[in-house]
Parts: sequence; C-alpha cells; structure tokens
Amino acid sequence: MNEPRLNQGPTDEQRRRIRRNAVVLGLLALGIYVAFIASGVLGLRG
Amino acid sequence: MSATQTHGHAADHHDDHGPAKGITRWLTTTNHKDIGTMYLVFSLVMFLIGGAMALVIRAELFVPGMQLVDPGFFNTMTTVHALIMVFGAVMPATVGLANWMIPLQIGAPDMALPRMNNFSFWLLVAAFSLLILSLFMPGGGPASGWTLYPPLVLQTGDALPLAIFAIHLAGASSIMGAINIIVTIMNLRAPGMTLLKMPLFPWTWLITAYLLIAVMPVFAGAVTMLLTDHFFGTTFFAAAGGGDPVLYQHIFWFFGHPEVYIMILPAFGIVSEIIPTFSRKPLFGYDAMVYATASIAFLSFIVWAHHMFTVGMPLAGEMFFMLSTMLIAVPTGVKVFNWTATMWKGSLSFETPMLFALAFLFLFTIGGFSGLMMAIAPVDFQYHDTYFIVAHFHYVLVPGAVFAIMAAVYYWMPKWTGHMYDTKLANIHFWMSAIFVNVLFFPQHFLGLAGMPRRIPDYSTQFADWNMVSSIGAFGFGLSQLLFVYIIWKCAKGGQKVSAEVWDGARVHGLEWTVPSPAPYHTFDEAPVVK
Repeated sequence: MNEPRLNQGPTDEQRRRIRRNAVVLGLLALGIYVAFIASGVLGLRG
Repeated sequence: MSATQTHGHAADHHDDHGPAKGITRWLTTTNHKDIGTMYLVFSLVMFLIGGAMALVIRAELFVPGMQLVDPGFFNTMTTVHALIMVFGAVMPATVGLANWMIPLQIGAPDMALPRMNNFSFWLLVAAFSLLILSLFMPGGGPASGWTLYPPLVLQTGDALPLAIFAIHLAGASSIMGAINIIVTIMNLRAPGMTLLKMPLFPWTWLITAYLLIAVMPVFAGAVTMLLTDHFFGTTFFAAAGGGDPVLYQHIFWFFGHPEVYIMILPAFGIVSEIIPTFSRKPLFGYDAMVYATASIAFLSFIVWAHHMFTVGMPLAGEMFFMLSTMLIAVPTGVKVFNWTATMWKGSLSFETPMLFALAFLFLFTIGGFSGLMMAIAPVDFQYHDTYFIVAHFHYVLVPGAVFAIMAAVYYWMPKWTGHMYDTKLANIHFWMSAIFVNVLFFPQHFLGLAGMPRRIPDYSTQFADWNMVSSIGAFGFGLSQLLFVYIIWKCAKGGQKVSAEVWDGARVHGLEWTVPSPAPYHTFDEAPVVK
C-alpha cells in the first residue's frame, strides 16, 4: 500500500465486485419501482 | 481532506493515446472527462432554454391582464420550465461535475462503468428531445405543473405519453449515473483513501446517489400509473373507479422531497470544497459534515407530507410531518455553522468561486428559514400555493443549487481548461447575478404573503408593483447568464495559463490539484497513495 501501483484499469477482483454491486443496485431500483406499483394495485383492490 | 497527500509521480502520468477525432469522440467516448464536459454543456443549454421559458412567464406577469400568451401556454411554460430546470439543468450539471471530479478526487483512472456512463448521457439527450418535442403535440405541451397531479394531468393531449416516456428515460439515465457513482467510489478509491478521508464532494454525491436509486423508481412508478389510468382504463388515481388522487400526491412527494436534496446535497459538497480553499484552513468539523449530510438524506424520507398539509390529514399526521421537517434544520444548521467556523480566523480571499459560495451561504439560508416557516402546519395553510412557496424554493434552488454549480465551474474550470477565466468579467457576473436574483425572488415573498396564488397568468392590480420589480429582476438575471456563457467560452478558447495547484495552497485540499492543468486525458494510471 506504500508504493505507487500501476493502474491497468480495475483488477479482476475489482471488476467482479463492480459488476456485482451494479447488478444489486439495479435490482434494488427495479424492486422499488415494482413495489410502488404493486402497492397502488393493492390499494385499489383494498 | 487536509490529511490527503500523494507520493511520487502518481498524478501526472501521461497516457499513450488521446481522444478520438471529430464527432466520434463525443458520440462514443467512455472518458469521464469527456462525458463530464458533455453533461455540463447539456445542462448549460437546458439552463438557457428553461431560463427563456421563465422569461416568458415573467414577461406575461410584468403587468396585470393578459399580455402575450394564452393561459394554456402559460401553464405549459410553468410546467416545462420546472421539468427542464430540475431534470435537465441542475441534476445533469451536478452529474457532470461528479463525472469530471470524482475520479480526480478519489485517485481513480475513470468511472467504474464507462460504457454505461456514455449510455446514460445520451439517454438524457433523448429524454429532453422528447420533452421539448411534446410542446408541439396537438393540444399543447404538458400543462399541469411539474408535479403532474391527477386528475388535471389526465386532461393533457397527445403530449402526455411523450412527457411520461421522457421522464422514464431521464429517470433511467439518473439511476444508471447513480449506480456508476456508487460503484466507482466504493471500489476505485486510491490506496489509503478511507471513506472518512474522502473529500466532501464525493461524499455528498455518494449519499445523493443512494437517494436517487431509492426515489427515482418511485416517480417512475407514479407516472406509469398515470399512463395506465389514461390509456388502459385503470383507476389508481380516479375516485370514480375506487382510486384516490391524494395517493398520487403521497407517492409524488415521497419522491419529490428527497429530489430537493438530490439537487442540494452536491451543492453542499461543492461549498465544502471551496470555503476551506479560500479560507486557507481545513474544513471545520469534517466528520460532523459527513454525518449531517447522511442525517439530512435520512430525514428527507420522512417529511414528504409537509407539501400537502391542506389535503386534509389527521392532526397526528400534521404534527409528525411538521416536527420531522423542523428537525432537518438541525443537521443543516451544523453545516452552516461549520462553514462559518471554517472561515473564522482564516486567511480569506474573495475570488469568484468564494463569492458565489458566500452568496450561497447567505441566500440558501434565507430559503431554509422560509422553509421552516412553511413547516408550521397552521401557517402553511395561509402560504400554500402562493408566491411565498415560489420564493422559498427558488431561493433554495437558484442562489442555492445554481450558485453552487457556478461556484464549482469557476473553481474547477482552470483545472479543466488550463486557463484562468477572465476574473474581472467573472466578478461582474457574480455581482449582477447576486443583485438580480434578489430583485427577482425577494418580492415574491411579499406577493405570497399578500395572497397572490402561484401558476396564474393574470392577477389582481394590488399585486402589480412587486410583480413588475420581480420581472425586471428576471430579465437582469437572464442577461447576466449570457455573460456567464461568454466567460466559459473565452476560458475554453484561451487565457492566462495556470499551474497544477491553480489556487494558492489548494494542493492540501484534494488530489485534483496534484494533476497538471489542464488535466490530461488520462489521469492516475498510477494510483496515488494517500496517507
């Protein structure tokens, strides 16, 4: 951690983490979208 | 951030290839600096278009009576002006600043998802092309206010599906941008840069990005339900079919209030960068600033119904939303006092970014105080839907968010272009903006207190004088921004060369001041190490 390290873009491990984080966040956004519409549908039925 | 230092030659490594030539560079670029520039130019264009719409509104209101436009078009102007300013000008400007500065400030070579970065920008262009095209649809553009309340919005003609599709595209673009910012900050910080060593601008953007992911889908859900109510026979918001128009208001403001903080938190980050630099002191209470930002973001989720006190809600509900709203003043106060304490006994100088940051501090606080006044439910019954509200949110968003963005442009533009801007013209721009913004918006407090409703093209003669003053301020403010465009153009073309540090002593405040000016096309190919 004390020496400057050559940055050839993210490492494989970083790439995996980036992909995983992005997918989780995307699914979270999609889930919120669906949940709010579902709450509207349930409200209408109730 | 004062603890941040770099080793060796980490910062100024030059890459072996530059940008592509011609239009291809801009269409296909995945470089964070190019995409940041495109966002900033786009937001400036939208700022001018949205500003022109504001001038149509103020020209119509210059004197009582119907003067220039018909009432339907006036309503379209108030609606589209707001949509453009919120989603097309302020948000993309802060995204542009994030694209340019976050990798530079955290020592990353680029954003973590560069192709998605390009896609989210061009999606935004498509969204606003559609929104502007909706003005030319049969029946006119959307005219129900930016809140798109049903049942009024369902009377919109063919423009409605176009506007709703535009909102979906802009929302998808924002969510992708937010994901990119989060994964960049969480995964690509330079070795040694712990979260609590990170500068305030990336911090505020990290929290903003989470807010975006939480609330943009809510707005998308609300407008999807509007769409199905209009075209597919559902009755989510139609009382006749068992639905409830007030449900829309709840959903909208569950998005809408955090949206205000999506616009203002990055502004807080900008001001937290500028004030220490021109006070030649580290930021006072760094940790408290981070926690205050997070507290404001959390509180923004539990105050939404203060926008709708007059719909009729239980007393307990009014009490809850009144008190939770007032609670926001505590972390906001922490911020205002910490900025003030940063300046205390500092070696202050008043370059243009500092002038805009100071104006932000005073004028945003005025907007905050009028917000506190409206948080008091019984008092809000008087203010609701009057020009007092218009004055309040414009104080928060214009001398608040917009002034902070202008401060950021003056602060970082020498780093982007390698040239100092014309300081004399920039100071003239500041003083004209600061004077005219108050001439424009302060009288609107008086109009609102006297009872003038918002979103009307004509008014009683008792409101004539202050409306005229406000319109004069609007045209003065609009003209001042043409000067801003000229200053940016002049600085991009040339000017006095600047050093890597640009501002005296700035190096200790962030990694961006360790790279040459202009910042090379590729930076931090060698990761800096932060102590």
